[in-house]
Amino acid sequence: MTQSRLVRLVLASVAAFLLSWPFVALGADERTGFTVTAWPALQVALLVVVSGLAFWALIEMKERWPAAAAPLHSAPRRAMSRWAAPGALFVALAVYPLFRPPADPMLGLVLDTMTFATIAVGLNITIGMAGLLVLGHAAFWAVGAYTFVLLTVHFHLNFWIAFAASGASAAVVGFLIGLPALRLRGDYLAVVTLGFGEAVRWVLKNEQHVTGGDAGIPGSEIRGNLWEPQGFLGDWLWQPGSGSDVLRECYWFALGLLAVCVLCVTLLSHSRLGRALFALREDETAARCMGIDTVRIKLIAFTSSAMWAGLAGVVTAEYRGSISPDLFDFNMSVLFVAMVVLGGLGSVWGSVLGATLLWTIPVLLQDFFPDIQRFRMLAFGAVMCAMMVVKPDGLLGKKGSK
Amino acid sequence: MLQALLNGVVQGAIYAIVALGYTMVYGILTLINFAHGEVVMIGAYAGVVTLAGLTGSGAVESAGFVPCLAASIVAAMCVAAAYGFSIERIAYRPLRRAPPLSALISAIGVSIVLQNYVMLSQPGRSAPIYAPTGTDAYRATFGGVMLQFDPGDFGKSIDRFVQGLGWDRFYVGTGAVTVLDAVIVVLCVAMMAGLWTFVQRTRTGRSMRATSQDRVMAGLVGVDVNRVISTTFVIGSALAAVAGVLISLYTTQAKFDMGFSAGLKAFTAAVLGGIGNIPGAMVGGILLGVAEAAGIQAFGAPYKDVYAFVLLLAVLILRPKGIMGERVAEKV
Repeated sequence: MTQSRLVRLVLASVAAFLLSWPFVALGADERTGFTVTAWPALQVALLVVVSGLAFWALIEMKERWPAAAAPLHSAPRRAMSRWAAPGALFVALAVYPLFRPPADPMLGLVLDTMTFATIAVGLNITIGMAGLLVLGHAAFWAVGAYTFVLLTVHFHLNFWIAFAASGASAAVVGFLIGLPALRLRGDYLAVVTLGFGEAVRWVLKNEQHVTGGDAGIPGSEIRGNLWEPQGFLGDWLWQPGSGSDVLRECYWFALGLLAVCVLCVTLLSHSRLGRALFALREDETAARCMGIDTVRIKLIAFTSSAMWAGLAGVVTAEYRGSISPDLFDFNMSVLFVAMVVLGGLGSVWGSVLGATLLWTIPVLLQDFFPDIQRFRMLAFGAVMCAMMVVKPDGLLGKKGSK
Repeated sequence: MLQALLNGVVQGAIYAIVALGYTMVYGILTLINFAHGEVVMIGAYAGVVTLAGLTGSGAVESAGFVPCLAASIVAAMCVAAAYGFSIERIAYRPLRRAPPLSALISAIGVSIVLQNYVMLSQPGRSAPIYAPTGTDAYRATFGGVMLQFDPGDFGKSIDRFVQGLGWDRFYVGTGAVTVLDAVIVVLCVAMMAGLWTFVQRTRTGRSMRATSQDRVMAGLVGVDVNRVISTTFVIGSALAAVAGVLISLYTTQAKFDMGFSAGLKAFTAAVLGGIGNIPGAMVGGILLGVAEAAGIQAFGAPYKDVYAFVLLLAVLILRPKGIMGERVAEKV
């Protein structure tokens, strides 16, 4: 068995080498004809063999030590210990900025990670729990961010009102896009949400008089416009970002949002509604036969998931100080899906872990491998594919009840 | 107006060829092959690299453009077919019993891998073009290199092709049609007819229809299901390669992200015509092309890519089975 798998691996590497040859080693020039470069071809061969061996080792490991592949927390634990580790993590993240210089890039990195973790945990409601694949989640993020900036810059609304309005507008858009989704099977839904995400970006790019086109909302690039306390409550109600230390205030705000999000979604997944969502994922027909109102819970899943992305958009806008449509492109939607998939469908902490791994590791490695950012998307795609084939439950996923 | 309509038909014929691949795979696996658009792109690259190489090595001068174009289309079909076969083996076959969501996510993963793999491995000859906005870090992350086979040079070969035939364009009423336009439409109809005959008349075609009706039952009566599925992928990918070469001739460039919009449009076309239905793919493709041309005439070009999406949404809500499709009962 092992032997034949190794042989197949070698054969597959040879095939992959031959397949990739026209793209990697062969250049063409109208003037000189074909040009062949040997070194990139060897690099590819090496890459294929190494990743093939890694893949093989993973499968071997899964067969030899089933325990390693089993979910990390399978035994039920007492309530005390269940909240101990998250609580410690929360405290550690909360005091972390106090030990760093004020404008430390590390704080920005952690802040971004927490924002993306919020979005990934929210997305987990639709993809992980309800089993509805959404490929345009960046659009909800964009709707939240744009609503916030427009309301703050043009109408000078108080931060908290704009914050709530951003979540609400993203939720409304999520509800509207959820309506056609009620009739669609999973794969149609993926394409519709993908198209929706692109359509939102085109609207942001083209409606220049409102959104400022490619440059972002006019006026938002003046930094004070987003950060000054505004509105009739502005003078005495604290607003993140309005003090002297924008980065730290936004950091704590992002941490608070992530904590609330994790808490809400964890409670949701243990609730009656959460169970109904899991049932929907496993088998829609059976769920309906059990008396679950699938229309209602699908809409709830869409709306709440979009709301978290919208709220995270506020953090992004506030921290960056200005936004532009290209930030919210298809690659980001894919990134969010990859985070959920890597962490484990339906696992809240899995999404947090997935966001941490996929966002921080490339940035941290950037100092050592300057080229790494170019290879990120390649890695995300490979992660999505490999996780589905090797370990569909994700790193922290629970085994779905069959 | 007539010119716009003609352009729409040509564009639609290209969508239709790509849509054939979606429809075949969906008919058999009920899986949207998200990587199909990327196979189109792979085919375009293989074809353009071959064609440019043949031009450079003097083969076009000695043998003429048409045989060289045919050779590069064949080369593109071979490469793309190999890719289609491998994609099915690596990413779809292990997941055939898994929930549909797993196969879908895996398909998207493959599509992203292929897109970035070509972007990284084929260095462009023209200067990299970056997105005009965004921070440096963002550009470094997502800017990427936009690869263009120099449109000037490549345009010249097409001109040479057209001159080689001795007539560059003819007229339908007041609308001008280039030879390339005619070639695209004729190839589209020919491939649709060929595929239809193949599926209806040959033994393999019958196995394919049996597999699409009931995979388990087909296996029980002696159809080699794995082989049929592989054949489907090979044929669909070869067709995609033809479409890819035609797209790069039509737009005079091959780009690593060309598969994304081609895939989305072709999927819309397949759904519009009734997914799983071969003549439907063609009807849907041409309708979509015409509708898009009409949309551009009526509302302007900035929203070019949005019309297809609106149409897709409308079809899925109003008539999910498409124009020529039959309603398929959900299997429990």
